[in-house]
Amino acid sequence: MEVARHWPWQMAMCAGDDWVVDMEKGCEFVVAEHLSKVFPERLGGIGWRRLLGRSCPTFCAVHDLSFCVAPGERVGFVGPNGAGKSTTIKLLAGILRPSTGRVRLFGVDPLAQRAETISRTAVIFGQNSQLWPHLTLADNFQLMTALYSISRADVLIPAIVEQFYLQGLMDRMVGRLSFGERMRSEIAMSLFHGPQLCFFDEPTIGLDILAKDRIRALLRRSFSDSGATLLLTSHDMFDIEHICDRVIVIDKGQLLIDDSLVRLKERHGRMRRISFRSDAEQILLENPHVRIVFHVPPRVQLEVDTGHTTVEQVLIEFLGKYSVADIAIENPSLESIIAGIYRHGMVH
Amino acid sequence: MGWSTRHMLFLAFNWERRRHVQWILRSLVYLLILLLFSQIFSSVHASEDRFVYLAVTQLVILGCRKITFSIEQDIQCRNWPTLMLLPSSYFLRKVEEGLGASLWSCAVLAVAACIFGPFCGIISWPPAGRIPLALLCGLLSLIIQLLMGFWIGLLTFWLRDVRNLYFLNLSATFLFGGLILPIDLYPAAFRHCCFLTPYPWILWAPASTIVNGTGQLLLKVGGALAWIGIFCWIAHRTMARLLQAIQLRG
Repeated sequence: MEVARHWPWQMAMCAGDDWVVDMEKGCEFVVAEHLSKVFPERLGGIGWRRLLGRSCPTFCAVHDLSFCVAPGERVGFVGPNGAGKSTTIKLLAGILRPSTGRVRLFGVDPLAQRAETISRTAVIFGQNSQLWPHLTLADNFQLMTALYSISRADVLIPAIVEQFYLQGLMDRMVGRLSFGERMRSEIAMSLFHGPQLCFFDEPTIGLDILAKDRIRALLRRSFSDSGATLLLTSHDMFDIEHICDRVIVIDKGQLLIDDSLVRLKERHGRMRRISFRSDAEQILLENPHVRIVFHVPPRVQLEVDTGHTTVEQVLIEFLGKYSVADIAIENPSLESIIAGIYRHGMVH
Repeated sequence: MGWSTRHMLFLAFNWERRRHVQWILRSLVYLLILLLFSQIFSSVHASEDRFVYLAVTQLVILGCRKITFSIEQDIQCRNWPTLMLLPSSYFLRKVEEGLGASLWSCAVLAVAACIFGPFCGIISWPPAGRIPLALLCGLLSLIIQLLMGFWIGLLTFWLRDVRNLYFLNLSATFLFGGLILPIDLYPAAFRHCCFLTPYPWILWAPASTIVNGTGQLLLKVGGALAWIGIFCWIAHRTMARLLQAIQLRG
């Protein structure tokens, strides 16, 4: 089955540049096979060890990582600091050469066939700006249209400006944009050439709540509309929850979990929190699968392991023993699920 | 995917044109330098050719865009996507951007020299017949400077800080290129040493074409083209090594 995809501004250009995705070959879209990356440790100075013929100590950032991504998937790449997320993104994008294993984008090696993959991918590293700071945003956009030989810049630029709410920013120097404005511009510019595959490494890093919300909404809408594929890394689980439909968790360069967001929550989010308002001075429960998180009268919070007991059983016991003014039951947040996975290192 | 050189040159030319404060300040610096040397040359009763020579060498040095520092910034910020993941070669992009910006700067300085030259002691300008070859030599000089600047900028990856190397190169340009005095006036042995370096083709070739005429055409143009070839090769090799190092070390 073939599905035609395009970005909204390509439609505005009437460019007919839709890309056609063969869904049956979907899993060849992004393939990482037994991917490893070993870096030499930085020794500083003149590298005397190398001069003396001694081997340098090495650091393994990614170890035997395998997964594939189908067209149109939005995959969240999650892991603690130093887990190897950015290294993996760089390996996939063709910035780094794998020490072992191989990467295939659209069925080709991104290092060997750079020209082909560059024209179909977009990469953003939230901590490094790719905009030219000494130019205005309009100049940056103009340069990008020249770089990608986009002929209908007069139609494309207004369409993108509207899509990303960049009106009023075009004549400002990039260096004078706020962090949120810069990131919106960065994302807009990375999508100029209508990429089919985007690697976004922490696009919301350092943004305030409102700016994050805006970026999330933009990404969610853009990628839903276009059907483009996204690999997103973030430490903010709200980003992953709002934008992605699949999560890959890695730690120490190794794959811990690769699952859909829904299944991940079902499998690993079995802990429930129940909050009560109660006058009880002391709480004693017989159910061994319940933990008292805190008890500061009149507030009590319990954590229930729904793998071994039910919320109903806990409520019956609690309501039978103590008088209660109010009850709230919370599902575990993705953040707490992922934090649990980091802590326990649950192997897939 | 096609890449329009003309487009990049035109964009850079326009960006530089809009940086009013920058080019006005640069013009003031240029005029002050001319004024300073006109006073020095007047006090030693130097010929008018000296003023013209100095005006051209200063124009070539001040007019050329210093791309070394933007490359240094890209590398220090580890902005690898800009280096590796855009459809045009980083090398071509930087040199074209530098050339576009330099052409505007040189044009502005040339106009400033024409307007304010008489106040600095330049009374008569050289014959117009020398201008086309001088422009060609000037263009080749800009390309050599940009290629050297590009190469020094790339060395940031290994040296971390290339400012000292940049200033060493600049000093060597002043000395071996003949910034104030033409290298024709240097002692023979030292003059021969100068011609073993690329610096005479940065300063001496365009300036002496304006002052002394269109002689030594082969030396001026052929030598510059040879050095452009050499620096293209060096920059290309260094860029390839840099990309290889990034792919391995990140």
